[in-house]
Amino acid sequence: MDTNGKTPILQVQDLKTYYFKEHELIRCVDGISFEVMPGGRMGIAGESGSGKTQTVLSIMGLNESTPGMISGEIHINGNQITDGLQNLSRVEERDGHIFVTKDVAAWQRIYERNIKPHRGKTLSMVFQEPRSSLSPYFTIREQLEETLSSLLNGSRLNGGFEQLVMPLFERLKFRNSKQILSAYPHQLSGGESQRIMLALALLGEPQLLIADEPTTQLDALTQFHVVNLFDSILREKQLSLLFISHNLALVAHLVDTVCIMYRGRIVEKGPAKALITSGSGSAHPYTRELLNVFNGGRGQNRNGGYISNAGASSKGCRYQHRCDLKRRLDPGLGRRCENESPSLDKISKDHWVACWHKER
Amino acid sequence: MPRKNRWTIYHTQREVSFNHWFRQNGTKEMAAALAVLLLLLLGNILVVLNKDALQKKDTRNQPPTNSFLQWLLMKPSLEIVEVTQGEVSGIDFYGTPGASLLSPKAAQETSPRPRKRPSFTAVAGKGYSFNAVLKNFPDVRYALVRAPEGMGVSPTGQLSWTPTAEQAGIYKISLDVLPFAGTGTRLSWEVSVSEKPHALGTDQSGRDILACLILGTQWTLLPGLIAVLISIPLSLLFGGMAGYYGGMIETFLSHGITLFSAMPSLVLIFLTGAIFNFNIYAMMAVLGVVLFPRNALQIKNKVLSLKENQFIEAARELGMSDRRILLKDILWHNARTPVLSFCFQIMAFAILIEVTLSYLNLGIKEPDVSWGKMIFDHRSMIQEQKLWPLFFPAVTIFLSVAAFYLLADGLNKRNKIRGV
Amino acid sequence: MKKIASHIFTTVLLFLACGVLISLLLSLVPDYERYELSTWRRFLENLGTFMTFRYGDAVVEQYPIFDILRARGVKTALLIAGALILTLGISIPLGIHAARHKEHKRARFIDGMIYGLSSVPILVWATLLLIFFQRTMDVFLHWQLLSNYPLGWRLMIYLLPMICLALGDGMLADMTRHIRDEAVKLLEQDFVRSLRARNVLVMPHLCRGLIPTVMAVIAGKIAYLFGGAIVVEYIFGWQGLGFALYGAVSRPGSKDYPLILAATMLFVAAALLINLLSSLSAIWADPRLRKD
Repeated sequence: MDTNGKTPILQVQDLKTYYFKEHELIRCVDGISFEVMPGGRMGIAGESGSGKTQTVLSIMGLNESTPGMISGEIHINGNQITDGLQNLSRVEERDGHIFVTKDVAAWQRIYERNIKPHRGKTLSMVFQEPRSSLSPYFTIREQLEETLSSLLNGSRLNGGFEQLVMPLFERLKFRNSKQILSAYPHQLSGGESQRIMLALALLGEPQLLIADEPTTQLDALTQFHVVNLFDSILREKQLSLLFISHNLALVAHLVDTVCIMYRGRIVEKGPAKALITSGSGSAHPYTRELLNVFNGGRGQNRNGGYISNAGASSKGCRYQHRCDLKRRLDPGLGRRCENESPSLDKISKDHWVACWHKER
Repeated sequence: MPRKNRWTIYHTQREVSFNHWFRQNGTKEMAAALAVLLLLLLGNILVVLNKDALQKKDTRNQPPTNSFLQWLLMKPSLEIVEVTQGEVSGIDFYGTPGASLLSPKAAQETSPRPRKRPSFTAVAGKGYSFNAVLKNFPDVRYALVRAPEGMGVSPTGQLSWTPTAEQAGIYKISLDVLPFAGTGTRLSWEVSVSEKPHALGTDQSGRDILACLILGTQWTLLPGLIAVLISIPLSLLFGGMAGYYGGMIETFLSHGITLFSAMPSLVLIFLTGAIFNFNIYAMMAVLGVVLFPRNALQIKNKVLSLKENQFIEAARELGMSDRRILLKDILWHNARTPVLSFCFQIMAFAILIEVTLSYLNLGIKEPDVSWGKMIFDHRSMIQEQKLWPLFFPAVTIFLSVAAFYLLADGLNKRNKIRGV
Repeated sequence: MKKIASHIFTTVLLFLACGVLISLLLSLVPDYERYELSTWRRFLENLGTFMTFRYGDAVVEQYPIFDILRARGVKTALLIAGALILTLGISIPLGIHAARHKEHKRARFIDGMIYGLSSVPILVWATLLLIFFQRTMDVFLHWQLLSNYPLGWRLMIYLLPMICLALGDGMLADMTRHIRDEAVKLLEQDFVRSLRARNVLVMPHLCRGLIPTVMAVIAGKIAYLFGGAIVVEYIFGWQGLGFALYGAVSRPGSKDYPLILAATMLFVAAALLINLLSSLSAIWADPRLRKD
């Protein structure tokens, strides 16, 4: 699906990642579709536990424990990474029963083989906790060299380190590069580590940078600096961005389009500024709840705000228990929320919403 | 209905899955280990009740009665030698000509070969018989060259004998199988006659091996208990104090712990043995002392991690100023969980040490019997290929040590799962 | 730097403490041939021997003790080094493999095998191996009987005791288990994820992280290894230090005190040295511990 005739760098269709845990099926990612255009910036926002991180981990093939099932189609620059994997996973819902067929080991094996050439080169990722995401055993310089040499397919660096790395370092505005290079990760501050992670991610000259809550662990001032750094580097190198955060203001500041996720599904997708900054742009009750909290109000206290039990029953809209809108509707209308799970419908040119009562 | 093949198909209702093999709580292994422990306890009880009966002596070095065990643990026991007709003289011949089909391979054999092996044991008062069903040469004559009194062979080759009670001992039997033409075969073997049947054979002083195994169980539980009784209080004391008080005491105690863990345990046990004239109980006490460092370290870490906890401060605020009460609080309620598992490890190690010491002739001595001592006494039997007094104690040692270790590990796993 | 110095200092201190303790124990052993000397007098005598390193000649063999220590100590060191190499060579790949595939059935199989292995005492292994060789090759493997045999058999007699030591009493099993547990913990860390996101090899990082564990297990088991060496030397007739120690201790009558003292202290020194090495290597491997 290319708009304006351009191929998206990353296109995800109907990605599903389920985990089996002690007789329960947890639908971490339940049918996500989005795409990132070259030069474009996509954000994914939502509360903790909504499956944002799992989405990108599944895309990159970095799930830690073996999932119960993965399925979906992923295209990178038009190439289908999940080629040949369509038959390995299938989910069918019939008569209230769920039939899951899978051969996860094979899926993961083949997917790993397909995505490996892209990792670090086309797509690269920056993680949430910068200090523990760097290996504590080697100096920064050694880790940079390691990444470089694996990018060059293991051939030795012949003094190319300086040429390749130093400009990046300058760009990232480190105060004393020499000291940092010979330091160990536990000796750096949060902001410095995050910038090292960025440097490591940019070494391979990727086309898409995936940032998984990169500033959550930092204090406000460092956050500000890091975000500005991100922005300027992305603009300069014309990189695309997939930005995950639960901080809506940050998302609105950085990205063009935002997907709001709730419990594994996208509930609203649209232009970030319209949705977030001008409060009337949002059409889904969950987005409104998020904005409400963000702007100092109180969210729905229905469930006490506890992290959703992602495995509970799948009948009807997943947001119904917390939905303010449903509470105010007549029971007759509310029944539709209980029985049918809403699909993502287009309500204007760039705006999709998944709610039966979006007009209200 | 969905089929199960290479794909795992889950029929889920309310999204339930059947990933059973992810479960790893080890209950099956622990149950097996407990069964073995019960057997050991039973053995101990039997020993206490019946010690004299277990130590009765019979024929020495009698192999087990089961033919599979005989095949496994003895070698080569049936001698097959070719004899030419001229060697055989002065003996009555019996024979019935007959005819039957032979396989081509059997037809090529130049002298008669038996298909079965005789049993190498016999019991006084019960019949002993052997019929060498031959692979080839159906028309043969049989001659007993050497046999104990009362043994006879029929024309069809049926060897039969009923040994009397006075005939206990080892006898050599030689049976000639002679075809009417060509070379014959002499089968020679030894039969060991005992007054009572011994399922697992007897050892070199005549004791029933099963009885010896039961007698050996008395050294599995009690010495281990002594080691435990010394080791656990020591480690609780040292570990608790080191963890709780910290500072100088802690460094001092942890260095003491390192000291003990650096000393070769066996050497210490040797020396103590030398001091106490190799009394097994004294050595077990020293074993307890030698083993306490590891558990003390664990307890110290536990106490350290609990010290930071809020409830300690709460208890102190409540006025529990007596440190000893506090120690009981921490130690009894929280730090005691690895203690039981460590008990089992110590007992397993105690069995191992006892076996090792007996093997070096520094442990149990006559007239007592232990598994290690059985191995020590019969270690020269390897050359003579009489392996049964070595095999069975080895199996029991393995099983009991494995049982204790399994219990310890099972407890560890359950504690880990429960997050203690 | 300060940490290293303090480690070395404590090691030396512990060595001296051990010396005192062993001297004490030795003087407690009832000596019927020299009963006129009191315990305290013998303690001082032992202490003096230990402190001044003037061990003199062994009572039994009438050789200078240091010569005995050197000649036999080398053999025992060979045995233990071989056993360690065997253990590490098997358990490191096994442990890492089990950690990587911890959800497969293979992992449970390795678990079970480890339990089985950990229960077999050394001497049972030795006996079983001897039996096996006897039955299949009709060779009775004893050191002295084999000195004239071709190299193949000699290699076997070298290898067998090392196998016994490596496998017996849970050396291999404990090592594999610890490596697997530590590797699982390491692989769950965040940095592994970011390494894989950049297609960088995780193995060097994993190995670096495993070094403290491996050294800690070795240091914990080294004292036990020495005990096992005694047994194995006895069974296979290996002329090493352990065998000499056993002979010295089980002599009827007056034991060979200088030799016991010297050999024990050598073992203790080796064990303490390995403990020191393990803590130093832990500091080297993990830069986070180099806080100073």
